[in-house]
Amino acid sequence: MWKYVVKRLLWMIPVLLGISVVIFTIMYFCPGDPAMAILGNGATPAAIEAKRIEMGLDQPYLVRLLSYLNQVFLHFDLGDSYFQNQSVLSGILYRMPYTLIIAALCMLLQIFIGTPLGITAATHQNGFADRACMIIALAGVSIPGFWLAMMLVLFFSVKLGWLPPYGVGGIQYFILPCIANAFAGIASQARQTRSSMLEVIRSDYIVTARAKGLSERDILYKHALPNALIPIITVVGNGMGMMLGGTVVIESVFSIPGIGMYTTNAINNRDYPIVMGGVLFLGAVFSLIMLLVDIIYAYVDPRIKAQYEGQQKRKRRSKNG
Amino acid sequence: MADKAIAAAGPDVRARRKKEGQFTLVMKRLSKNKVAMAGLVIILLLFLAALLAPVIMPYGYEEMDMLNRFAPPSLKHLCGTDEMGRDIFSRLLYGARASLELGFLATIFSTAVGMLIGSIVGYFGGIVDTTVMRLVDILQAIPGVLLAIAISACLGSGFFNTILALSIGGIPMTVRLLRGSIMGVRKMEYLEAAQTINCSVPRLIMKHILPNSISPIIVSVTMGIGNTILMAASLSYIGLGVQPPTPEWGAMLSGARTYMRDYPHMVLFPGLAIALVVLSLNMLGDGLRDALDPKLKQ
Amino acid sequence: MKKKLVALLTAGCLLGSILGTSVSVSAAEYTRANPEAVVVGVMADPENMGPWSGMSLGRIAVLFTTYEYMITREDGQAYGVLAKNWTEVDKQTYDVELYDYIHDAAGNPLTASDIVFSFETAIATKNYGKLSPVESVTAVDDYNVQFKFNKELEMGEFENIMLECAIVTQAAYEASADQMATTPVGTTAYKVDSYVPGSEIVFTNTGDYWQTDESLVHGTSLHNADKIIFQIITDPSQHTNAISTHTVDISNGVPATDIDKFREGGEFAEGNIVSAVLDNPTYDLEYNMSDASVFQDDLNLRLAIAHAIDREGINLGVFNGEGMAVKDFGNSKYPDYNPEWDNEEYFDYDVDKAKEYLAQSNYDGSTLRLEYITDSNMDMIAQLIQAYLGQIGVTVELVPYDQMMGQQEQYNKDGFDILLKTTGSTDFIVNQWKLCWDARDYRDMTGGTANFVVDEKLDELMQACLNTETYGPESIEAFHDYLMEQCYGYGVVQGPVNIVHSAYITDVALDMRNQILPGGCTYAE
Repeated sequence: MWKYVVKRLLWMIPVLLGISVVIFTIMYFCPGDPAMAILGNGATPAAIEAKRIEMGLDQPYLVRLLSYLNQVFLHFDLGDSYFQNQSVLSGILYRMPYTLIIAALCMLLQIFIGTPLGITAATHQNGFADRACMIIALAGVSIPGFWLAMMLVLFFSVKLGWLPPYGVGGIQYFILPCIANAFAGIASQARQTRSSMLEVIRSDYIVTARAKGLSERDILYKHALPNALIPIITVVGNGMGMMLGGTVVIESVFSIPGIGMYTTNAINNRDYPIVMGGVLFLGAVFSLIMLLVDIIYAYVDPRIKAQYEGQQKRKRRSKNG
Repeated sequence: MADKAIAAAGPDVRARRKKEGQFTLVMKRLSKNKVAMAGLVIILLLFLAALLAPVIMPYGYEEMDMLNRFAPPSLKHLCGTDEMGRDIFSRLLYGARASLELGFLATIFSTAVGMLIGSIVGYFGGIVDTTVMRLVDILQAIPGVLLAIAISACLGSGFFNTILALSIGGIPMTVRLLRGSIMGVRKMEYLEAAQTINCSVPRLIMKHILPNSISPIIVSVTMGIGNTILMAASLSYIGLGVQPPTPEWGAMLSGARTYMRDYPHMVLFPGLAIALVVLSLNMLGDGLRDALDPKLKQ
Repeated sequence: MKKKLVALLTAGCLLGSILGTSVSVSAAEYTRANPEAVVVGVMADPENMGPWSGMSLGRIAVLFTTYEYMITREDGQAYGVLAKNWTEVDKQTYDVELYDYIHDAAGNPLTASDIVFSFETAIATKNYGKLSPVESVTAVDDYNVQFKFNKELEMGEFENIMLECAIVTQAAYEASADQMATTPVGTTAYKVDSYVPGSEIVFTNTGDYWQTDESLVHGTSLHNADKIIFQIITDPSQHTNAISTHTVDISNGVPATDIDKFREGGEFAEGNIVSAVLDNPTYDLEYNMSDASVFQDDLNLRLAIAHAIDREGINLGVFNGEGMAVKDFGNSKYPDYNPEWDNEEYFDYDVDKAKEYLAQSNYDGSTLRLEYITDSNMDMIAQLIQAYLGQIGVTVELVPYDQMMGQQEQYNKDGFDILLKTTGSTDFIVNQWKLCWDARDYRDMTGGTANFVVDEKLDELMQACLNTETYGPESIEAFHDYLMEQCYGYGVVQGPVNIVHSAYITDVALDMRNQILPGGCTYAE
C-alpha cells in the first residue's frame, strides 16, 4: 500500500508539470497585455512597450516557459504577482483557508444531508419519501448556484436580518455561501446514494440476509451501506474536486476572497503568475484528494486493496520473468 | 473491393438487427417509466419550440420598447418584458436555440472526443493507456470552471468559443468512464472470439466494445447537457459566454440579477426555463439508466 | 423526515421572498453600521496598496485615504498639499517649496530628498506614462525641490504630474517588508490598521496629522472620521443589500435600478440618502478612420449615424434619465467647457436627416462592427445603438471584449468600424480630447489619432488647445467646431455616480475621480 502511495505521489510531479505547461500555454496565447493593464487606459504605446520589456513579456514562448518551469520546479518559487508586490505563494496561502473551509463545509453538508436523503429514498422506493427526496434532488441540480445564493441573501439577510449578506468573519458568514454552493452537491449525492443503494438492496446477499431474518436496520447499515459506499465516495471525491475551483461564482456573490476569485481576477488582469500558481495549487490539492479517495476505496473495499497488491506482485513477476 | 463490401454487409445487417432488438427492449422499458417519458416529451417540445421560434414568437427577440420596460407578465407579454422593453417570452423561445444548442453541442463534442480517446486507450491499454491517462489526469486536475474561464477569456466571447470553453473540461470524465467500462468488457469471451476470427481493431471497438459500454455514456450525456447549460449561466455571471443581443437563458438570467428584487419575473422565467430543461433531461437520464441496466429491472 | 421538512421550508421561504412585499425598516432616524467607524462599500480590492503600483478600480477608492500628493485639485482648481507653493522658472523647469513640518503617519519627517526618492522610484517602475516628461528631480535644500522636464509642459500637465506620484518617506518605504503593498504609510491622517485582502481594509486616524493649520487642509486631506472601514463587495446587488441592512454606511456601487429604493418613498428610504452627481467620463463613439473601414472618406455616413442615435433615449434607458446627453466630446463640468454649446445643435436625433445623409453616403448595406469593452452599461448602450441604427437600415454587429482585450483591440484597425468607449479627464476638457485626438500620443501605433485619423488641421488645432500659450476660448472653440464639422467621433452620454449613504453622513465628499472621501464627509453629532 505504501509503495502505491509513494508511487502515486511521484506521479504527481509530471502531472503538475503538465498542468503548468497547459495553463502557461493558454495564458500565453491569451490576447491582452498585462503591461497595458498596469498602465491603465490613458497609457501611450511607447510607455506600454517599455513596460513589456521590463516585465520580460517580449521574450519568446519557449524562453518564458522554460524559465517559469525552472523557477517553479527547481526553485520552488511560484513567482510574484504583476500587480501585487507579493509572492503568489503567500497570496495563495492567505486565501486557501476560505476556499478550503467552504469546500469542506459543503462536503459535510453533502455527505450528511445527501446520503441520508438517498438512503431514505432507496428504502422507500416509489413511496412518498422517495418522490420528495428526488424532487429536492432534481431541484438541486436544476438551480444555478448564484440564483439560489441571491435568493438566500434576499430572504435571510435583507428580510430577516439573521445572517450577514456578504464578507468573511465568523462561521455565520459561511452559512449562506455553503448552503447555496452545496445544494447541487447534496442533490447529486442523494441521487448517487439512492441508485447504488437500490442496486445493492436488490442483490442476492441482501435477499439472503433478509431470509435469515436479520432486522431491516441491520441489513441496511451493516450489509447494504458498506457495499454501496464505493460509488458514493466517488461522488464525494469528484465533488470536492469540483468544489475547489467551482466556488468562484459563490465567492463572487458573497465577496469571499478565496482562491477561485483570486485566480479569476488574475485571468481578467492577465496576472499570469497568479493564474498559473493558483491553478497549479488547485491541481495539486485535487490530485491529493483523488489519492485520498483511492486509499479510502482500499479501506472500504478489501477487494480493491487486494487488486493493488496483486497487480504489483504480478508486475514484479513479469519483470523478473 | 466489391466482394469485401458484400462480405461486410452480412454481419452488419445481423448486428443491426440485434441492436434493434436491444433498442426496442430499452425503449419498451423506458416507455413504461412515466417520469422518463414526461422528460422526453418536454425535451421534444422544447426542441420544437426552438425550431419554430421565428414563427411562433409573438415579438422579435431584439424588438425594444423603451416605454414598456419591466412590464409584468400579462396577456400581451406572457412573461413580461425586460430592461429594454423586449418581450421575455419571445426571447426565451428564441433563446432556447442558443441554450439547447450550447448544451447539446458542447456535451456532444466533449463526449465524442472523450469517447474516441477513451476507446483507444481502453482497448490498447499498456503504454498508450498510461501516457494518455496521465494527460487526462492533467486536464482533469485543472478545475473545470477556471479552465472554462481561462479559455473563454482567451478566445473571447462568442457562441462557438463558449461551446469550446465549456466542452474541454468535460472530456476527461468521458474518457475515464469509457475506459473503465471497456476495461471491464475487454476480458469478456466474446471479444476473444471476435479476435480469433481476425476482426480488425477499429471494427472491434466500433462493433463490439462500444455498444456494450455505451449505457453509462448515454446517461452522462443527458445529465451533462443540463450541467453545461448551468455552467454557461455561471460563465455569463462572470461576464463571459454568449454576448448580447443574442438571447441565451443563462445570460438572460444573470443579466437580470440586478433587477430580481423589483421585477422577479425577469429572473423567474429564464430560471424556470433552465430548470425545466435540466429537470427533464435528468428525468430522462434517470429513466435511461434504469432501462439500460438489466440489473435494475424490476 | 426532519431534513426534508427543512428543505421544504427553505423552498417555501424562497418562494416567499420572490412573492413577498415590502419590509419594514427600523424606525430610528439613522442607523450606523459600526458605532466606531464609517463603513464604506467599494467595488474592488486594491490588491496592492503600495504607492506606485498601477491603477485599478480598487486602488483609486482608497488612494486619497492612504496617500497625499504634492497638490490636490478641487473643482478644477489646484491647491498645494505637501507643496507650499510652486513657481515656473521656465517652460521646462519648476521650483517647488515644501512645508517644513511634514511627517508621515509613522512619524517620519518628510523632506525634499523624500520627494526625489518618491518620484525616482515611481518613474523607475515604468507604471506611470504621465511621468515620462520628468527629466530630473533634485533637492535644492531640505524643503525645496527642482523639477526639470524634457519638453515644454502643456495645459495642466505640471499639475497632472504632481498628482500622479504618491509621496511617501524613504524611511517608511524601506521599513516596509512588501513595498507597502499591505502596510502603506502615507502622510495622511490615516494609517492601515488591518487588511484582509479581498475583503476589508481598516484605516484609523493617527490623531497626529502634520498639517495643523486647518485653513490649509483641503478635501482630500480632511480627516473627519476616526476610523474608516472599506469593505470590498464584488457583486453590485450586494451593495444594495449592504446599505439596506446597514452593513455599510456609504457606497457608490448600488446599481442604477435600485437607487429609487433609497429615495423618498422608496422601500429603504428611511435613514438613507442618495447623493447623485454626474460622472466625469463620457461615453463616446469614435469612427474607425483607417483605410480598413467604410468611414474613412464618408462624412455623410458618419453624420448619418450620429443623427440616428437618440442620446437622450440612451440616457433614459441606461441611466434612468439620471445621466446627461452631452454636447461635445466631453461633459459640461469642465471649467473650460463653453456653456453656449448647451444651446447648440449637436448631432440631434433626427431619423429623417439621418436617412438623408445615409442616402448621400456610400454605404452599401454591409454590416458595421461596433466594438466596446463589456460591462452592464456598455452592453445596454451598444444594444440601443444597434437598435437605433437598425431604424435607418444600418445593420450593426456587436463586438464586445473584456477589459484586457478591448484595450488592445482598439488599436487594431481591422477589428471594428465604430468604437464605443469611455474617456474622461480630471481637469480640463482639452485633456479629455487629448485622450483620443492627440496624434502625437498614438502615431506609433495608429499612424494618426487613437482612431486612425490623419488630419494635419486637426493636429494643429489639438496642439493649439494643449499649448499653454495658445490655450484659450478661441482655440477650444476652433477645435470643437472642427471636430463637429468632421465628425470623426462624438460624445454620447455621461453617466451618473450614485452615492447612497446613511443619513448620519450629512454631506458626502468626493475626490476628482468621484470616489468617496470618507475623511472628507460630514457626519452628524
